[in-house]
Amino acid sequence: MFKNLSIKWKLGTLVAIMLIALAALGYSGWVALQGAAEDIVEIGTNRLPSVQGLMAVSEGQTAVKSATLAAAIYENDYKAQQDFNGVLDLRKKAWNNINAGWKIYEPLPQTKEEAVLWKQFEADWADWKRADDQLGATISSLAGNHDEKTQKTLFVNFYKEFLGARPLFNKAEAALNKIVELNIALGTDTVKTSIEESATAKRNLLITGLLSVLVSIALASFITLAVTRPLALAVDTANRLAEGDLTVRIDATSKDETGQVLQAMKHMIEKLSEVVTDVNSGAQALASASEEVSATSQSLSQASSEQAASVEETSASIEQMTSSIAQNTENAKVTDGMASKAAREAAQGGESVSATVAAMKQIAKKIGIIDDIAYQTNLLALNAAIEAARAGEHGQGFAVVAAEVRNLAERSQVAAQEIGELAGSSVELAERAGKLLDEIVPSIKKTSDLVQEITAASEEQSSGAGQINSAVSQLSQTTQQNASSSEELAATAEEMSSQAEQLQQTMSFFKLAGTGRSAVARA
Amino acid sequence: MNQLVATQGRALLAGSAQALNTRQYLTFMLAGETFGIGILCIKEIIEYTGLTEVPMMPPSIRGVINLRGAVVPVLDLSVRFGKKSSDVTKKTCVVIVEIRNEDQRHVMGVVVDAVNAVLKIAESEIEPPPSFGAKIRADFIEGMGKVNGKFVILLNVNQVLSTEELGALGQAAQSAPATASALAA
Repeated sequence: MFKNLSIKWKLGTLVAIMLIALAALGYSGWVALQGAAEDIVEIGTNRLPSVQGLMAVSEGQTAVKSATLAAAIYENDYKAQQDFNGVLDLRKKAWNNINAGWKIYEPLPQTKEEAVLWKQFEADWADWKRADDQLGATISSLAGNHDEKTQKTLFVNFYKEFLGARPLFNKAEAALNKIVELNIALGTDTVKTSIEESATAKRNLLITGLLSVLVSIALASFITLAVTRPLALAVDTANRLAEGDLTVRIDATSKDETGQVLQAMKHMIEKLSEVVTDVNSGAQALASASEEVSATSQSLSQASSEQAASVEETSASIEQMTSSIAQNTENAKVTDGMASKAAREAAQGGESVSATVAAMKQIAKKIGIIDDIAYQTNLLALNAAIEAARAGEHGQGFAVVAAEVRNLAERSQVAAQEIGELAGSSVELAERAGKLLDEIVPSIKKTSDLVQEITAASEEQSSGAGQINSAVSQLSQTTQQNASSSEELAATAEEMSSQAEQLQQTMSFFKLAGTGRSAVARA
Repeated sequence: MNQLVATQGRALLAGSAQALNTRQYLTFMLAGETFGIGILCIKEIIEYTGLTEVPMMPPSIRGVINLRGAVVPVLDLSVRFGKKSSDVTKKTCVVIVEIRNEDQRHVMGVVVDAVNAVLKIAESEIEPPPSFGAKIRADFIEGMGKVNGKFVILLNVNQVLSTEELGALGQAAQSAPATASALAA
């Protein structure tokens, strides 16, 4: 379960444990220091000052005593008031020191034993103090004294008081010393205790330190392992991945960050495998597709070449067509000219025919006149025949003449009729000719129109052929472009194919799980 | 000409031998049919010109002409035959005929479409008039002459141009036009 804690928590645990150890260390140190400090305080604020104070008192007592004793120097000096004052000052100073020391010691806490001793001392001191006070009074009297006698008396008092004070002084001093010794002893004890305590503490600290170090090291190494092993695995996996080996198997057992890294790497490998598989298949498809494209482009190129050839043929045919159309146009123009000429000539013919017809009609008219003449002659002959018949015998000769005349008339009539018929038929023919010519003229005109239409159509054809020509040339260009484009396409397809192969080769760098090299080798 | 005259003379001599059997007829066209009239009745033939119309005349009378100073009435035979009046062409002639009736000689003109020829027709070639089938009243017809395989209706001029009939016709016509015009109106 600890394994699955996140590194944060693991490190936190480590840190916590280390902190706890540190705290423990600190606590024990603190406690030790505290104890040491207390002892030092004890010594420093209690014992030493006590001693100091007591020693000050003692010194002061001694100073008082010696200062007091110094007065004896001036026993025989009767002008030593100043000195006596000086002694008083010294005493005062010493008493100040004593008081200072007293003040230092008195408030300090005391042990029971010490209190007892102190009580005793206080009593002794009081005794001595009374005596000393007396001495002090004596000295002040001496200081204020200018009399030798008084001085001697005072000195006798002085010596008496002094000697009386001396055992009190010693007692007090002894008691004080006892207290001092006690303090010193206490201090020494405290020191010893302190030393012991410190030794203990040091031992504790050492043990605690060692323990915590060990635990920390253990935990740290555990954590480190927990971190570095998966990381090493990840590194190894990544290296193998970098070498293209996608067959690595990762077992991510822990759920902390490294586990997640491994899980992520596993995921990554899976995805990478997928991607590589996809890329492989895609590259394969690409290779096959590019082959197809190559084939298609080659066939396209071929088709384009064929198209170009057929376009050339078409172009040649169109050239021929154009030339034949041009010829057509020429012929049509010539035909038009001929048709116009024919129309003119037909018109002229028509005119001639009309003239002929008119002449014929004239002839017919003239013939008509002759016919009339013949007819009238016939009538005359008939009349003559009638007269001859009525004349009977006498008119026979006349009848003959009349008959001859009639014959002549008949002949001329016949001739005139024939001529008339001929003329009529000629007129008919001429009229027919004229009609035909007249029919020809519109036909010729129509021919001319048609020929003009043909010419126009030929020109249109020609222009159309020109357009077709240009279109065909464009087509030819386009076809050539097609051919070159398909060539390019073929080249590009080749390149694509080679690129696909390269891609496959590059992808073969990756060895896939489950397929091994075979998947790659298949490409 | 001499040869011809001689030939014709011989023919005429021969013809005169048969003068009693051969008669000369003038054939003419009228309304598409060939008729003939004996030339003894015919005075002359003239062209159809100068016709003066006379009002109040029967319709068969076309008018009168001036024949060398004489007034000759002109008859339209087709109307006389009951057909409609024939058109005038350049061949239209007026045959001047002389009819004898009760010792009166009347000169009349007859409009014909065309005059053909004077023919000699033998009596043997003249058939008697048919009793039926002719559009013309039979008394007009003297006979049917055979000429070149075809029949020529020989007219009896006297019957055709009988004055009494004409007068009767005229009177009838005088009354008829009034009714005809009344009907037409």
